[in-house]
Amino acid sequence: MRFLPFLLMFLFTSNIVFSQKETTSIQSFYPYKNEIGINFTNVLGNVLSLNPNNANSPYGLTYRRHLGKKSFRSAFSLQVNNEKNRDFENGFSVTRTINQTTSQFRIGLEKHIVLNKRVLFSYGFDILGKVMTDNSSVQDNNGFGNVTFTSKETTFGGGAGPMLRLEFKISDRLFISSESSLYGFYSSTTENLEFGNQPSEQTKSSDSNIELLLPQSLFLNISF
Amino acid sequence: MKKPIITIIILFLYLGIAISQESKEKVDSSVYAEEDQYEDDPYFWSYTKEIGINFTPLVSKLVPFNLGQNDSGLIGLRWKKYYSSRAFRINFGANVTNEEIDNGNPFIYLAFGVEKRYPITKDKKLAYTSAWDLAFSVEGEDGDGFFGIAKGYGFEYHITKRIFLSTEAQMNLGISSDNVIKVQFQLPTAVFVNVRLY
Repeated sequence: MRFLPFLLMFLFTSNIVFSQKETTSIQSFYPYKNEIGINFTNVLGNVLSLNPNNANSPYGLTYRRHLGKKSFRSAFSLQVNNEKNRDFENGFSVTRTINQTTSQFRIGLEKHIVLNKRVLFSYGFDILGKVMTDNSSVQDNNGFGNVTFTSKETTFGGGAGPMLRLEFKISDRLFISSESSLYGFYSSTTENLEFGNQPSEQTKSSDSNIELLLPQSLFLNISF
Repeated sequence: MKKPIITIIILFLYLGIAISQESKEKVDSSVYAEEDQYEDDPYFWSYTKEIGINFTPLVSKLVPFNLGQNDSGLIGLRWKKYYSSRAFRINFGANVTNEEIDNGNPFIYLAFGVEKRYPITKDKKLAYTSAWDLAFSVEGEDGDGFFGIAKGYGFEYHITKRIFLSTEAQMNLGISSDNVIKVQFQLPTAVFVNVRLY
């Protein structure tokens, strides 16, 4: 009889506890704070022999830090290409050297709306940056001496714009996502040309664009 | 002594179940709280906002037998605000980059309009939409403009009440930049993934 109140209490509370259906909050959607994303569209395309059309996001890696209903978001890509070719023809030689580096980054903030246990919608704003250097030289040894043609191109670019994102939760640690963005971007390029011993020539050009990027890339995100 | 105890236990059990059911109903209806409760709120999409993103480029990559270049249409983003049964909507698309100008394909598209959605099935998962838009677009290297009205019919499938797929056909009637009357029927080309916000 002594246990009767406890029994009644247990029956009462256990019913209420089981009645609490899982309401999906942002905390339960993202149990971990950090997230790294890898663009795996090409993996799907190449390994699974799907559509090989590869026009996709320039960013290969993304990092996000979840701060409650908001997240800090960033993405980064780096491409380095160094080539040196030497051709011989009729005793003459031509040496071509190409050094290209392209780095692009993006940082921003996004706000989340949990649609259901598995799907999340986010909207936010990004700031973009791009630095590109392209140095190439051609050394022509034509028997009368060496002639060297050198081109040095440097591009700086920046932009900003809003974004929308859909994310599907596979498990607490695994997500797949895709996003759409409307970015305005401005870049300025300076090119220095040198031909032999003649004075160098400098040209400047700029480029501005607005692009609504539709979802083209699928990111696999891992939380930790 | 035993009888009252058993009665109390049954009473508590019943009370617990009753509360559990009530809270379950509350949770279940929390998302669609407005639905069917008021006369001017006849659908679960009444008084909601919707954002649609053109997912054709991604979908076309994931379909194995689709090897060609796809045409996603001019509309990239779609925003709707539903009132009782009608919505105000904005369609937008833009691609003005040097690359596209060189290829001769830059464009800007903007349309404002009114839409009404009609359920096809009883559970309202399948629906069609009828819309009137005031559309403006500039396309191509020479900047061929279009200004006119567009009558659209769309088809939608609700995966859940907050996520749905849609596509739309349009009949455009207007004036081009050469002052020529233009009539164009556009078949459904894009698949939109839409999100409903409360």
